[in-house]
Amino acid sequence: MSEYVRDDRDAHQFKINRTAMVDSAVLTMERSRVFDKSWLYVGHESELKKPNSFKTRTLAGRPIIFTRDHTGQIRVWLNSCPHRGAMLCRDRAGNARFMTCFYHGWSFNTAGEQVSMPGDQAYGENFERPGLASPPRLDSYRGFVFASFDPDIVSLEDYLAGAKEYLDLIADQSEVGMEVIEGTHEYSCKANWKLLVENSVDGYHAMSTHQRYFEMVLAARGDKVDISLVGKERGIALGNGHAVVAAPAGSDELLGRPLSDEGKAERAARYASIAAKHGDGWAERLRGSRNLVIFPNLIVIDLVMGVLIRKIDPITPDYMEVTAWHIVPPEEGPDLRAQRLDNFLTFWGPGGLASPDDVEALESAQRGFATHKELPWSDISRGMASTVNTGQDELQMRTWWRQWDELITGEVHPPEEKEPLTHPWSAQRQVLSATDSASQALPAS
Amino acid sequence: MQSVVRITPNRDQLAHAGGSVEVAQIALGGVPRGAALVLCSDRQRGGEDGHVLNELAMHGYEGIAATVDGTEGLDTQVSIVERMMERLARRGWHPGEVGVVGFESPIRLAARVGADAGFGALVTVSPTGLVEDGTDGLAGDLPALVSAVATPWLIMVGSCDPSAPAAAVTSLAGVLDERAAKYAQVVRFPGVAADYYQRSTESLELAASFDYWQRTLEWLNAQVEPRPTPLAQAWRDRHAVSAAPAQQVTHTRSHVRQEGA
Repeated sequence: MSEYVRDDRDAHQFKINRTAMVDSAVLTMERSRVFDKSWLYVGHESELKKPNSFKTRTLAGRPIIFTRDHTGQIRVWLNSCPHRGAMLCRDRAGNARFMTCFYHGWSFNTAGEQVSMPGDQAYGENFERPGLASPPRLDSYRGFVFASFDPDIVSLEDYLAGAKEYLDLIADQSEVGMEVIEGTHEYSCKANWKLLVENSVDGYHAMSTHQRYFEMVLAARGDKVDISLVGKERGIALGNGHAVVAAPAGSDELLGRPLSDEGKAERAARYASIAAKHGDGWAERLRGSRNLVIFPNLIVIDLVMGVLIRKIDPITPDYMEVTAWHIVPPEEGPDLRAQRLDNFLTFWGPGGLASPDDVEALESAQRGFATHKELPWSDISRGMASTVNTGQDELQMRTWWRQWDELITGEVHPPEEKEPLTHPWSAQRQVLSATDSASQALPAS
Repeated sequence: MQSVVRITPNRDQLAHAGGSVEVAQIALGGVPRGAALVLCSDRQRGGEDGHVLNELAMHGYEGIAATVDGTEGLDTQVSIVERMMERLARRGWHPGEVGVVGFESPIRLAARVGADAGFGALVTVSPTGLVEDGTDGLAGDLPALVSAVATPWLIMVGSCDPSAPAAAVTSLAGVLDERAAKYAQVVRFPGVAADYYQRSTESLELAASFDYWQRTLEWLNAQVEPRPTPLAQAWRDRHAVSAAPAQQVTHTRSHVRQEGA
């Protein structure tokens, strides 16, 4: 039986041992058993607009270069010179077909090939010239690029399982391809990384933790806020540890400052276009919000008024670094763009009205975990006894933790039995021809 | 006492379609990093071209320089560049191993050169011809011309250069970002005129003169193909390095702008 997770189906109790939040040995296990055995989000293809564009970032603690080579292929290289280990590229972003290590001057191109080394005659003619190393697996789903350090991992599509359709719901918002815009949020939090995973799909905390934000929305919208929508969300397990809190249509009237009539008209026209292409049910789903976690550390939050991509990186057991990007339909008009940017700043920004509250809550919890010997268990049981899970319940967190526990301890937790999803969450993406109302499901690949 | 060893360039006349032009050339021994084709301005007459070639040689680039004084037509200017490249080709350089650096040279010349020849890099210092007389906006024919450039292109201007007004420079940067197949960067130095690349003791000019040169070298190093050593070439031939990419991603086409060649 796992020492970290108590999953009591009879008593409807699910508990997490807080040792998992404070013990450096757990983080060491997470690095080898979770991060080295999962598909991990690298970035979005739209971040690399031209050949030889690059971004440097970290992946499972390793420095990497996320680039397009000169032929346009997406590549991920470990940012360490094969010669003596120095970081090959020390810029955050840029464009370079050739990168030269400042330590001894070895150069490589964006296809990973070594192109020069000073004084190479001293190595002799049979010296094997090393290229750049890469994660063994690299793949992309609708512009979202993932890599894995496990050469034997299942395909990305199999790994994503039910999360795929939630990425479809993001990707379908643009006719020309969603685009990550400039302006990355980077912040840190003195708390265990898993606390932010939980928080990102935790509907229960919203009203108590983010009271200030909702007061701002009420002040901006007056009596036009339809609070009957609150609590109508569903918590849904998507397989392989992925989960989502998905709300029905109407979230655009609940979150963010009010949109202009022009912006509303543009949004309505886009929904009509999506309905024509993919069916009314799909368009209705798209009009709702969703907080998605893709195991282990990718969060995609679509609150209609903006779409956030969040990557969470553990640094120590009580310290994490967070990177967040904003993904948008590039063709949208100025009013919708202004509302998105406003929300990215006022809700999700490190100086906004929501993220700082979350950071404070998580850091408070981490400080509280100093009592973990006296208070060893955290509770994530909400909704375990019911057959239909709302977003206020905690199925989504349990789903993530069960996958974590299986990878860490080997204990297999069967999924919770829940009633099948109903409208609107059951609506499937369809491909409708322009001349024929008959429809067909999206092919699997 | 001279503290730095300077190489005296060879000087001779280069015949081209419109006559001939004096060129300065420095050839390096060993295996140079790359080559540079330098188009100097009128301000650099009197030996400044040799200074530029020496500065490039310090970083492993041999080079050839000529002054394009603006009196020739565009076709003649292009012909001069072609003849200069032929000189470099005689020393075994192919265009991908060559960076073109132009000082106060016409932007249309840079666009022509960058569109066709497959050069490794293009650097334009204080381009001329961005605007039509009496206007601040980008000249009407330029969006189409610069969009066709298929060479990584660094453009640097001074904010006090009357031939590079802010509106035109902003438009140029936008067009290149949206439409050019290759990466381009437009840099605007504050408080300096078109001659910021010349040595000065005035603080903003000094800063710009240092920064423009650092950017030029970094641009060349990042974009110009290094000439392989004989051992590197032999290793490449044995391993057919470029034939088998290690990892491939199926990506969304709308996010990709393929190289032209």
